[in-house]
Amino acid sequence: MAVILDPGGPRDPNALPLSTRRGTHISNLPRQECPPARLKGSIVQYSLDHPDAILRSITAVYNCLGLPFAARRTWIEPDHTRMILTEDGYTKLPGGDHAQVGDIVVYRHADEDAHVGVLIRIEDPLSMHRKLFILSKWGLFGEYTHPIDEVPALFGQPHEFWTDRRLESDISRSTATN
Amino acid sequence: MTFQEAQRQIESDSMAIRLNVASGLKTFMRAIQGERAVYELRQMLVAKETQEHVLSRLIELSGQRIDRRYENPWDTALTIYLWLISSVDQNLLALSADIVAQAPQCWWAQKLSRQLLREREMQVTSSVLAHNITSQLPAVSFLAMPDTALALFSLDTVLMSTSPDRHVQIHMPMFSSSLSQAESIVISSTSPSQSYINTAGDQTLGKAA
Repeated sequence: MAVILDPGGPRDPNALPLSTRRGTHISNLPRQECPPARLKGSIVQYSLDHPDAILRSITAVYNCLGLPFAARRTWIEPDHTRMILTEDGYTKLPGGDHAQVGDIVVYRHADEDAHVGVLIRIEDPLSMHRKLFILSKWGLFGEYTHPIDEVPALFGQPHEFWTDRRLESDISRSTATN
Repeated sequence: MTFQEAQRQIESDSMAIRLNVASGLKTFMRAIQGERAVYELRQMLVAKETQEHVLSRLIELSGQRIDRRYENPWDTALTIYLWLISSVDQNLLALSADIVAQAPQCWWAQKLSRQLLREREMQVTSSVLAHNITSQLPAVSFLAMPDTALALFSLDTVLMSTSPDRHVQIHMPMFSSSLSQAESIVISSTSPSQSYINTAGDQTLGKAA
């Protein structure tokens, strides 16, 4: 039996050519579609477990990292989260209060990056208790919009916020160095 | 909980739905270990008879015909059975991992099987190296680092099978201290031998012509 030792790597014919802005290959593999009955079962189960989460779409092909970093085309293991954020020029924010629409939230469980999502809506932005809503892909199953804490327990807690925003000051600095 | 109850839960859609929100193998494996049915079955595995039941179920599921349009519906159960066997019997590990690796269109089961085979490969390779290389070579430093052998092999996209009877011969220049200086590596098993020669004087080992 032959074993591909670097599945998802640059030499794996099943992997998509995908790299960070710096050019490092991002290990990835599109996942085979899930049997329809199981996809349907997941919709029922998660509507019961997480009634505030709204299903947007459902397919097994990509996962939570594949959504923001591969345009919903493939599955990327969460182990690569930090490498991608760093090499794509993201900046870690001091906290959720500084996050804006389009920023990335990283969920951690037991010191592991377990999940990522995209901030898509902020309610009561000027209050002390602003509410953050996330768009994220739940493993093999659906892509959901959900309150930031309304996720399966396996994802852990929202831990960090990262942004790729470039502000006016960044443009000035960039222009000055050029 | 009886064996049959644990088996029914492990192979259920609800178990697959609960566990497959995981995005990575680490999270998936952590989730598996938090499942009561898995815990209960693991307790039962002290009995040889239960081990045989699990192994035969693993063989049976691995050979199931599946709808090729979709992922293998037994992927979650196969991953659990493989992990259970690997956690109690190292002798059955390679056999079980080989069997699972041949089950079509699996995701987690393939990843776990690959990981277990790789870990075993490192152990086997290390022990064979220790057996073949004499004390004339100052090679002790890399023998303590099985990763070195793995890094060497991973440069080829498609490589060999893993089996307990694999024999590895590494031909080193005298006084070399690193695997990267290997002149050739011959891997032999029940399948045809494969040779790798060091063509670039570094870790780029190409298949022998």
